[in-house]
Amino acid sequence: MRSDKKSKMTDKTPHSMCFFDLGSVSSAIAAQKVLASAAIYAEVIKREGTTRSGGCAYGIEFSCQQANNVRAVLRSSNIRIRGSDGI
Amino acid sequence: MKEYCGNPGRGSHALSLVAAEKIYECREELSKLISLSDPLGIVFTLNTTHALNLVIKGLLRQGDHVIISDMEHNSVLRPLAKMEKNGVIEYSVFDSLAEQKDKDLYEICASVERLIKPNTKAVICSHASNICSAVLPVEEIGALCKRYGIFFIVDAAQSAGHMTIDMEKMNIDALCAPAHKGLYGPQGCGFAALTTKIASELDTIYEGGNGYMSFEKDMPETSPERYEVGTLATPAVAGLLEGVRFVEKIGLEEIHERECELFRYARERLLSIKGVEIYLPWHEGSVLLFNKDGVESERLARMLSSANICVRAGYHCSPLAHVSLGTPPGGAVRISFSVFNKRSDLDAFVRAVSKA
Repeated sequence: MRSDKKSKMTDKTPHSMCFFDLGSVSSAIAAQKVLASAAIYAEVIKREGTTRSGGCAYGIEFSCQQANNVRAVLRSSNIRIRGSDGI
Repeated sequence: MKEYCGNPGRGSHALSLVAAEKIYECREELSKLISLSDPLGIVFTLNTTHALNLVIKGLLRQGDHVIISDMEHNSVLRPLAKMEKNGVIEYSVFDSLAEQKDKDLYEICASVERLIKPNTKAVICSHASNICSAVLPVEEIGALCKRYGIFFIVDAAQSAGHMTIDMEKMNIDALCAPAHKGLYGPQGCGFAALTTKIASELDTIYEGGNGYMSFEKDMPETSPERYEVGTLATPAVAGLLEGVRFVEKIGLEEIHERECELFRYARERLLSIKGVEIYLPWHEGSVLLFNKDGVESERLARMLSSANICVRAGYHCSPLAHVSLGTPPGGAVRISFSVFNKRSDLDAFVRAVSKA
């Protein structure tokens, strides 16, 4: 985990990172674990949530190239994506 | 205390994440132990009573009816009695037939079924009694609840870590247990294990901060953060995790067999003392309830204490169970076994009881 105040990431170069807002730290850790078991690296981070009025939220940051795979793995694990950034 | 001093789910620093990961590990281990499919259904609480209040008061609404067993602890009885007194719910008590030696499990289920009404929302019962060796047929009662579409809530304070629990197979919707008994964790920590089905029905009974979406006035919709407010007892949860791992390392069957062996030995030795009565001597388990004729239970407990033997006497917060078993005024003495006890401990205990 790291503090992250980066501006929105819209560059989808091989090294660009995307973010899924999962709300709680429990959901973010659960997501990180299921992704790890699918050989997808993701980092748990806390940052401004994707719902503007809400406040901070936890989520996962991952390579934008993996966005579709990440979404599929989380869906199959019933982990709800509250919002996204960089995608 | 040094490693898990960060506040989980609050900061973005390493200590906070390490604490959050440790707590998640405990959710995973507990969910494996009791066969709960989603670790996020594990909600940490202060103790079993706290967990039961969270489930009972979160689930029940105006006009609901609840069925409980005659073995229930005050952690179930008192919240329901208050809700009934306030005109919110009504409850009925079924006969667990604990005092019968050769009871028919289906007869117990029939005594539950007879009490079901159109507005029955849940059946709440202990898995194992906290005062004696009685065990309720939770799998059969769970099947009955499933058939009627009723929630099934189990107080596993005396069975978690002592006996196999399979929430899925037993059709348990919510299970509440402490850290400090059969799971060998510290005091001041417990949990409610919630299936997705019941978690979607529960209202919150506490509201407050949980570290994210601070500008939203409502609690989040999802477990566990919906029900965990304020800072969690991370060191206690880390201790519980080690306790669960200890239980898994020895194995539930091995633990149960060792406790039953101690029960058999204690029973044999106690019954050799004139005037000793054991309640439900035919049912082996991790607790044994007895009295000695002519010695009030609290007095006997004090005498045992002077021999460095720690037991609990009286009514054990379980008035219904004492009435069902027919213990005399003053209650009875409960001894409990763990994997650390040896026959030599029981020899010392029996010597002390003999002198009383």
